[in-house]
Amino acid sequence: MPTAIVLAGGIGSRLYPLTKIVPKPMVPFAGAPLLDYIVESLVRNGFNEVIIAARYLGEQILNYYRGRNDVKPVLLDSRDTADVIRLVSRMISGKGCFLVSMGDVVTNIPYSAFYEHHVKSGVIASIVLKEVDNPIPYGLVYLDENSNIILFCEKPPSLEIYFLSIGFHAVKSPGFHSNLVNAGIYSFREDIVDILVENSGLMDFGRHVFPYLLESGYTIKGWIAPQNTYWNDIGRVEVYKEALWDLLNNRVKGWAPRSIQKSRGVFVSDQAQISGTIYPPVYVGRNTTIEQGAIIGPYVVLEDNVTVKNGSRISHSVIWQNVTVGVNTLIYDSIVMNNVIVKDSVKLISSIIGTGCIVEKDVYKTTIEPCLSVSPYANTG
Amino acid sequence: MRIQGRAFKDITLEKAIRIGAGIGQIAGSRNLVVSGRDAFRVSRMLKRAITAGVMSTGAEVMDFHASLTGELSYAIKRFGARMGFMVSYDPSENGVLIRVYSSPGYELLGEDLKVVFESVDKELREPSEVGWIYYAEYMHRLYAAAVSSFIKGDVISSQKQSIVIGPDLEPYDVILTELSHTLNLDQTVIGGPQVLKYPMYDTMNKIGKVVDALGADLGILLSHDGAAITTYTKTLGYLIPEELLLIVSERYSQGSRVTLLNPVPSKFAKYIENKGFDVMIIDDEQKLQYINRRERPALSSTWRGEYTTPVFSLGYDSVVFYAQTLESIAENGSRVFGEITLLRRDLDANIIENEKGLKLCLEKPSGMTMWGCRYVEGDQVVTLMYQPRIDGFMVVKDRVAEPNVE
Repeated sequence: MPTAIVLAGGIGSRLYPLTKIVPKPMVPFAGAPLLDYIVESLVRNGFNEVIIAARYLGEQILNYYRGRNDVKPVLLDSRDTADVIRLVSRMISGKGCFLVSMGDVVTNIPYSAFYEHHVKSGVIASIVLKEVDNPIPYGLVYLDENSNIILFCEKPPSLEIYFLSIGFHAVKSPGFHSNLVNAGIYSFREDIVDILVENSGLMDFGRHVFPYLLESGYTIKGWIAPQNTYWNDIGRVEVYKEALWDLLNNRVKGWAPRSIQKSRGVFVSDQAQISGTIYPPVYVGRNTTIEQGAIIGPYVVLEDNVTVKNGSRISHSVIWQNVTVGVNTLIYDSIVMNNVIVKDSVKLISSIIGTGCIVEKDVYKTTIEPCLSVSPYANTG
Repeated sequence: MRIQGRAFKDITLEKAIRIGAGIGQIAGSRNLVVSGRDAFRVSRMLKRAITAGVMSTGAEVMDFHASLTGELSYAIKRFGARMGFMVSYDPSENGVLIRVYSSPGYELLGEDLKVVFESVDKELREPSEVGWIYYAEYMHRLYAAAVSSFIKGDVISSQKQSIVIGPDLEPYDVILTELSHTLNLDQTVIGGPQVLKYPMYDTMNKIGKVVDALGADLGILLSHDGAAITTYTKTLGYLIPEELLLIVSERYSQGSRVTLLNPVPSKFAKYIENKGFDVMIIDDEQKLQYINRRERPALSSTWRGEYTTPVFSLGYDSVVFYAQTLESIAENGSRVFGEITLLRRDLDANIIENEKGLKLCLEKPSGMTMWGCRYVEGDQVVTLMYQPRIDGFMVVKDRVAEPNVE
């Protein structure tokens, strides 16, 4: 039975201050950590052993999955992504091909179809590739007409340079694809472990291992994700929000927020108490209370144990666990991390409020660092 | 070891054309040769002569104008070129150096260079078959993007490191600006000397003083051709090559292979080995190249302070090493500086006056470098590293490490 390894050890510094409190894969994502959606997708696709490689704030991941037989979180002192495979080599030894997924991608790719394609091809490695309209923000992968990867490219510094670069390769290799990006999901033959152990200097898959394999004459297959596949890398705070709105709008087919869908775009837990008004899309978690006169939405996620008091209005915002929003407050385009108190009549606009803070004055376009270090999942597990 | 000599005397225009023809013959008709040079006029002229020779054989040339050794090496891999060459000039000696590269990006040295000259007399192509030339100045930005893709840019960006760096000659002006932007560096660029004279006291002094005045995190001096780097820190001054290697090795896991070109102080070699690295000490530069091609170690350095990161490219590349230095410091802080302080104490590093140091460097059969010199005396290797704070040399003496590669 296939094994999947989820890489969940990165610091996620571009997602500060959210990742000062939680490792990136554990950011709240409408009722569960993002990581849990990835794990669930893998299990649904037939991966009956999921190893989660944790490092930074990894105890949170270990606590969250304590007691699960099909999920094996391990705390590793890994230097980078490929180093993980060296460190878990005993756990995957003798089990054949395996799949590796980043722990910070929102995607509904058919993992099993990709994995089977890889096994049939017999090559050392395969990579899921996603077609993008704008190649500028990504490192690109060039593919020939046989779906063999011919080059890993740096992120193009400009559109002009991108065109010059593809022009050069188009002359040399007609019929190649040039708007494909590495989606952070790989399958490997088991003997990759020997290569990694033999070459300890290979630290990261994208930066080191794949270019090395290509130069050493190995064939790497690119598997282009189906056209309608959703894929988003939660690299920045804006993308985190964007992916949540896509989830609420049902654009990530196969991923469902962890509560009951009451109507189109309205996801409300049975344990929530709603007396106020809701404009979809909205997610309301367990033990969350929306008092009469409060207006929630559009584009709002209220995680568990949130209280929004009378007369308050929240839109385009994400509110993590254990937050109290006072009377007549206004929250727009903001993220309120867990265990925060927003006092009465305060306005929060385009801001991030760190864990454990008490907000007594209006905040505009400001990031307030966490005042406490408490995980939103401190009571879970 | 390399093609070098005095301009117009040893390296004439006719000879340059013939070298180009040799390179073109090896590459083969319609195959690509990448070309680069430093900023001097003589290099421009000779590069054009070599280019003419390459084109006469039907091979195609991709020209980067002013460029760095690391760019050449990377570009061979990136564009699937068969060969490459780079022309550098030293006006103080009227010296020309022509580095020749082969696919996938390693430099041809010693015996391996014979093939260039042996290919020269083969029959040239017909005029209708002359090769094409592409100008690709965009290479500098592409290369900077490749360097920043090779390291954990987000880890560096989050720290806004303050860097004082030189020189500002082309193409560093483009490459360093790109890196500074991508990696969110607070960068001060120091103008470099137009005339090369080793050691580079003036530039080293400027960098050291500006780092101290600004309280910057690091000072960096890169060689004109991009092969070598030396680094200044507030607490330790300039670092000898093995100390910088120690900092960068922090980003690699235990068991990673490191190759060092002798003479290397044995205590450094032992120290890196004790940290769990597989250290290969090699006496000959050509052998170092072979081993780097075959073994693909994580890191490789020469005693002169030229570094190779074989997974990125097989040539000397100070820029990618600089980026790795930033990454290592961003991830590990200044912990490793403490280790270096202890090592210096163990090595009993002492200080001598500037003039005395320079005299020693000139008297001994030594290798003068941009940072000082190193020579062997009996079984001892002596390193003289210029330190601006004392306007003198730090002297480190130790037994030469035993080569452990046949």
